Amino acid sequence: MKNIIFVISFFYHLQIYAGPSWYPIPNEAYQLNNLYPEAQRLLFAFDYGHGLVYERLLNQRGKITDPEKFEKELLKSVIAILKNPPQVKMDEDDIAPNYVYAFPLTVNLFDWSHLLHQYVLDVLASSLDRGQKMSDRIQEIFRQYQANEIIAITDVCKTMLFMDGHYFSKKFRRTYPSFNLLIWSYHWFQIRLYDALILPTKVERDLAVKKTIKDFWELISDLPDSADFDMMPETFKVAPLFSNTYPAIAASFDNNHMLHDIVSDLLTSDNISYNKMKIEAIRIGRMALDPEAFKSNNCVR
Amino acid sequence: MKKTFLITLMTLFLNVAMAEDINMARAAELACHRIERLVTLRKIDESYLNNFSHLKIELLTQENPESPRFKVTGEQYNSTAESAKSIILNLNNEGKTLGHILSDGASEVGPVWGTKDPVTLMENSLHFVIENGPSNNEVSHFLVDLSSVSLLQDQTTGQKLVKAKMTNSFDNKILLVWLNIEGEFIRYEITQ
Repeated sequence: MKNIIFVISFFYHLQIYAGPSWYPIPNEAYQLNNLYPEAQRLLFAFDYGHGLVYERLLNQRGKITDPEKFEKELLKSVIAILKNPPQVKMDEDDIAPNYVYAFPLTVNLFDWSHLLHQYVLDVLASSLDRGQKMSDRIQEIFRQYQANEIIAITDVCKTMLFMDGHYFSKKFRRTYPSFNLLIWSYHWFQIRLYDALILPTKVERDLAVKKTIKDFWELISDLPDSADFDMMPETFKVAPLFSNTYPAIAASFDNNHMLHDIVSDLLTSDNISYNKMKIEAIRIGRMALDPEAFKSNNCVR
Repeated sequence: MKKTFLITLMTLFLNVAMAEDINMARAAELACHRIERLVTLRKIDESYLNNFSHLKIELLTQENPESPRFKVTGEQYNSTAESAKSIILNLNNEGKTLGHILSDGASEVGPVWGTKDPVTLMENSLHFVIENGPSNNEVSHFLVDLSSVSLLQDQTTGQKLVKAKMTNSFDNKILLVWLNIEGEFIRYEITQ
């Protein structure tokens, strides 16, 4: 009997914690790190920061009596990570074990989507061919992403109501406005990098990446005022060149970013029980996969 | 091949640069977001969010590309003949707010809505126009020529609903958009 329980719990554990793996890993994987280590390390720091905030929100759920103080402490911790970012991708299971346990579907969606994001950046950063071959390679990677359809966030544009149209929406941005603007600055940086790296010559790319990093630091230099976003940054606006060249990938990332905000709102909504929050996370995760849920009639493509 | 790809990129870039100007409904929606941000960051008091009731939008003649393109006035609930307490926002071609002015006036506690504030409800009603305007001729005038939006309560069915009443500067038609109290779209109607 003990053995059966052990086997069941082992596989249950695997089912929850085993993140998706991309096989075979593209030859270009982490070339961004070789060519633009400062940008890559910031991306690693964003993942770390997201994991950290989700874990703290979850662990402190219903116990935060002074949101301003909590936000200040959170910002202090995360800004320190941004200033001294990790050199490798951190394992989310280690940073945020409770969050990973509570949000198994969305964690898998994020992990899979982040791999796509990373590899597209790697190809853009390193491809010697700046024409059709590069484009074909990016589409090939995108097809590999889509092939894992049970965790591939849809590439059909969703309306902003996907993010803002729920009974718990906007809770995070209204409770922790500075931290929310920090997260929107992450999003801005992630998508702006596309337009920096799509440029034809190495000299142009070097300058554009440098400027993107500089602009990011300016955005977060005096939060909340320094990040003048009224809405979540969208790819068609921040990275128009990339968005017009690879509209499906751009839409897929916008959906990913909206899903991040939804998770933040769920974690901040004290009036939702823990179990209800887990159920809602699954429901919303399925919406992220569903091309018909909150489908926009007016996709910018 | 490389040359063709680069030319395509350049063309796309130029198209994008030219396509940045936004329509009236989108500008109104972005103004709602700005009001929300200003309240969240405590730059203006909460009455601008919780008593919000009416929005007017005008297209301005620009002196130069950096000058304001849209003037949006957000008014608070007020049943008297006096002018309402309001906020005036100036937005550029892309819908970015260039500045705001607060205007004193009458303000009353508006209708009780529910979990969603009236700014969010108005924003959701504008989403209907933004989503459907490009493909629906009747709605398109409210996308391009929107002039005002008023938020009303409708209890004729025995259930409290949100009724957004929109006017445009193209004709005398009125667009009514019904939402439930959570801000979800129910139906719309266009009347004279």
